[in-house]
Amino acid sequence: MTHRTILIVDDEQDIRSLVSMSLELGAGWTVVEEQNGDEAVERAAASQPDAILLDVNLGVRDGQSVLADLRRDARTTAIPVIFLTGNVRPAETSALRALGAGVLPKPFDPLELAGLIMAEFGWTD
Amino acid sequence: MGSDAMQARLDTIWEQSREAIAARVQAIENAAMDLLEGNLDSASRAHARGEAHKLAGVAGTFGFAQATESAREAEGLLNADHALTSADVMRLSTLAVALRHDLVDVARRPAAAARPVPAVPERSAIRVGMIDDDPAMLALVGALLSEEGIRVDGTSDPEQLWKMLETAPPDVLMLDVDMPDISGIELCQSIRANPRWDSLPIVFLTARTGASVELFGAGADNYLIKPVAGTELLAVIERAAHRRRASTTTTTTLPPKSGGAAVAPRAPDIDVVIVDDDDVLTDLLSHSLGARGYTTRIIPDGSSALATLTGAAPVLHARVILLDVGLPEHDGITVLRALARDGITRRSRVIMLTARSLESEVMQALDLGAYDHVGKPFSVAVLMHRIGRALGGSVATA
Repeated sequence: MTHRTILIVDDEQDIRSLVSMSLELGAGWTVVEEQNGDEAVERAAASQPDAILLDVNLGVRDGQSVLADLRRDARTTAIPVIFLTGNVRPAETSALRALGAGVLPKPFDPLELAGLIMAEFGWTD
Repeated sequence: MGSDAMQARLDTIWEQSREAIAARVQAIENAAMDLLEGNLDSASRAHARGEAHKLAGVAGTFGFAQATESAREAEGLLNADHALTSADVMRLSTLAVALRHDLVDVARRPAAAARPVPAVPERSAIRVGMIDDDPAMLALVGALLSEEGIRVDGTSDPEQLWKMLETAPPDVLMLDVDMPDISGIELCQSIRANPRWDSLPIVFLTARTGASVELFGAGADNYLIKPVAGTELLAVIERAAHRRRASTTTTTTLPPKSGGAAVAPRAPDIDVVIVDDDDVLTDLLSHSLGARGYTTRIIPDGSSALATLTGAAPVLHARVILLDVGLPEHDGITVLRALARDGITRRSRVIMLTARSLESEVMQALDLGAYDHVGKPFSVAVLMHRIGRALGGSVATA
């Protein structure tokens, strides 16, 4: 499999740990963790990940505004983003998709997270 | 890949997260308590709702699927624009108890790799729905059964009961006979009138003696006389739940079989037959698939594969066959050739697992009628997707 780097932006430690573990052990990818939405752009610019997993509900701010920041910055504007969300209602997921991002529901199966990300972006290896 | 390593890490992360998770359950309990006393302020309600949301997101990832459902339902009830009825408040308390039971009182995480697909339901897998106009009776039965790990969804409101049957049908339904708005007997007759709930086990709880003819006539499976002893209650519920599972295990929901002419009655299809001599791998795959409701069978060598999967009337029929190339005795290509010869590659989809991914080997397999191939070492996630595709549905989202 192609080696990839993923940035996870989530304010919950347990979710960050679960994502890191799932992708590192499940696919051999590198995971960079960030808990603060305000730091997400700088972190993404520095690590240049293949994709960003972005929590919708970051406590102080929402994932949608972080996505807007990422898109405004030339260094991060092209990095694909998947929202990580516990809201599974179709209306909400399609609203998120309309922002030009993928959507992954929480909870997820740690064994399958890498495959779900690959499927979301059409990565084949 | 390292699924064992993943399970071990999951355990570690779970241990580190327990305190935070217990605090979230506590917030929901506090909200339920305050609601019962009629003084939940909007800030606490919003806090509890947020905690329920986070629990819903994380519990299932650790393997607590039921807790995710409970937390999600609690989140809905705590939503600020939702006007709470007294039945809702009772429901929220029930959910809080269930969450504590599922997430805080547990000794450890449900280990996916060590979880057999139970033929007999474990008690914790049994869900009992109950209607009784006496809240004390609901609380008592709830306490008795939840001590045994059985989940009880109780209500005093017939409307709630219908909602429960629609959205989350229980394994066993317990009905009170004498209730102010509707008698349990009428309720039972209405439930039985709908073919969907024809096989739902119904147990009456009644203070009356001598009503058995009337109860059985209405469609009851069993009845208990109040006051009821815990052991008797447990025995009746378990027996009823067991009977229910036994009659429903053959009707798992799977993606429909694609095309194919009608075939004479034969051995039931296994969803995925795994032919591989690596028992760590086969165990992992079989548990991963089993946890998603798929039936699996493991065959460890080439001659057993030939004996069970090939011939004019094979012992086993598979929808998908995962076939390792480097098998002991007869190799995977030999088995594939026999499958093709007997026409089995036309109705079963064969995914070859190739260690070397040699182009010639892969081409040969595809020429012989293999549906797909996956090179080793592979990511389990990717393999799950390939299996899902071969099954004609998505394993990942099943």
